[in-house]
Amino acid sequence: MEYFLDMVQRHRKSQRDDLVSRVKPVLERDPAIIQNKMTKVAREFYRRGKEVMNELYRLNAFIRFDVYPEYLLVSEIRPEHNIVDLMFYYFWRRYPDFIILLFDKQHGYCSTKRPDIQFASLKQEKNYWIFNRNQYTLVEIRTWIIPQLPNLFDVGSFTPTTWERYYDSQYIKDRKNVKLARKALPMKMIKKAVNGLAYEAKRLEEEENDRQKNSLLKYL
Amino acid sequence: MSSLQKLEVLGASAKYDTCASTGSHRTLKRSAGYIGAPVASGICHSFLPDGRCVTLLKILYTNKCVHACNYCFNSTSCVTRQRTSFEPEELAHLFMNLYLRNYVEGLFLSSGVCKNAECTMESMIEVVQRLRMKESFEGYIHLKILPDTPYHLIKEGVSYADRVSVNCEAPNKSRFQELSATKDYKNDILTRIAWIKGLKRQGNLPAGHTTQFVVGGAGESDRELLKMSVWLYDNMMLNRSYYSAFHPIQNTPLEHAPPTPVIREHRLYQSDWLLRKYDFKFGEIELAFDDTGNIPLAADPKLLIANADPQRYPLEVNEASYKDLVHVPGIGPLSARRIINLRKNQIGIDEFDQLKNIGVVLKRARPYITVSHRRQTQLENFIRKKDLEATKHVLHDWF
Repeated sequence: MEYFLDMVQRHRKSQRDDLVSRVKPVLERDPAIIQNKMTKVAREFYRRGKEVMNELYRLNAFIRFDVYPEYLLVSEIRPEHNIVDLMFYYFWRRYPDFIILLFDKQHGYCSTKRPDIQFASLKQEKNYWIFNRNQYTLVEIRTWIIPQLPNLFDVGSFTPTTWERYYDSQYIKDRKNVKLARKALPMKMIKKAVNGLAYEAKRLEEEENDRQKNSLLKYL
Repeated sequence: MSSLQKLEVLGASAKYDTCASTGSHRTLKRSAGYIGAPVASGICHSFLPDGRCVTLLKILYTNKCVHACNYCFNSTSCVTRQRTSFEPEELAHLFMNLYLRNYVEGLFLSSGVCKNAECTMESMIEVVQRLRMKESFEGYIHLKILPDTPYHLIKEGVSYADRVSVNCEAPNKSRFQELSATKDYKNDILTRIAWIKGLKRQGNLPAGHTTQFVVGGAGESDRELLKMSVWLYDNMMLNRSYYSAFHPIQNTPLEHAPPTPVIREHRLYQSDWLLRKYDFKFGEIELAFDDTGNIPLAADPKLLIANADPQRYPLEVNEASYKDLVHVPGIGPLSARRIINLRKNQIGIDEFDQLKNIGVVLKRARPYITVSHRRQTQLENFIRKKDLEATKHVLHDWF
């Protein structure tokens, strides 16, 4: 329950209202009421927690990284809730030797599990360094990293076309179900993942247009 | 052929294989010097316009195959298909590139049988070995075991993979022969599954082993398929069965056979879920079958089972056991657990709305339950009663 409480606190609305402070005493006194969603407040509490967990889960899955030889993975996100530090915990486990750099609209967030990499000129918060996007460029960040590294990473050759070709190869046209796909990839999420789902969004739109065109032809 | 073309051809050849990253509970032994980590629950990295998710890089090592399976995309009879193979290094490199950029959660590696099973399986193992040893990949790997693979290769494959699977394709020997004349059901398939069970018992395979059935390819019934699944769950420690609706493929002997409706696949998954997650017995599932041994496509199997046993209902939610609650349509294991949990805390359910709040689908559950010994009128009756009252009122005004 503590983990869930933490999730609710991260919700953008929880910064403004007193939901968490109202729920906390009930949780101590009679946790079953909250755990089993008996009241309206309990339901709102669960809804917020789930919303934050959902955003975290989906952003972890939907963002795509640009890989740089400085063991640097860069991506762009637009999260609604305060989840950046949790994303880093996830990617630390997945890429322990890499430096993860995430940009939102205004800030850059840099984090790594490597003890040999430090960003002395950046402000440290929780498990990451934070900086203003206008203040430092990606090139500057890269130049800071190079002297701290014993070797560079072999990036190899990769273009997004590789993914696009694979994605198209998996599609079974006879099973076309754009409505279901839209449910799983809502526009809101596509926007949050910025460029991560650009190709998927384009293909879904094409298939939707195709469906509309076909139904119109059928009607005529 | 370039790597990109191979990816396209061999990716398309694997698209009918079903898999899911249902999570591996393997713990990492290293704290650095590796790439990738298994996760306890599946992560979908993308979704296709057909609504299916893309979790793993689902690919064949080669689509060259010596077998002539009547339904298969890679069958020898499919002469028009482009044939190609990856080099182990090429495939490992391609996969790592996609994994590092967060496109996929792991690898699902299958293959056609080129020359013989031993030779192809060796190459497939070379790919996964390379990933684990050279690329230090610690993420999820699902390795397909080819029919007729020797024991020592299965053992080696199992040591690298999180999950392995052997495709049963059909529920029994006679049905299998209708699909493939070049494979032996008992020796090539069931014996391999039994070997995998033995290896799993020794503590391998953190994500277990699975199988897949082609639904409707050999005219088999749902009863036959589910019976076989239950046998595999009970005797072979199988984690789950996948069902893939048969779809006729051009230039195969079954190209003119009618396709299986996708809803049949869905009904089989629903029944399978009842067996695995709701602890239903096969005898109970049998109540849902019609005279032909199939689940009627129009109805949910849980609803059919409940309707076949009417004397059991209505159940009082404040008194029913967990086992009885999960049998009620609209109440799943989570809602049932919540009801029991409330009861343990001396909190009773007084209103139907409370049930809705804890996750019960009232629309389905209402006819089968009572709350504090009160039964809410069924929706149809409720509407009819209201209409009658309105009519009475109008008649009274007239006369």
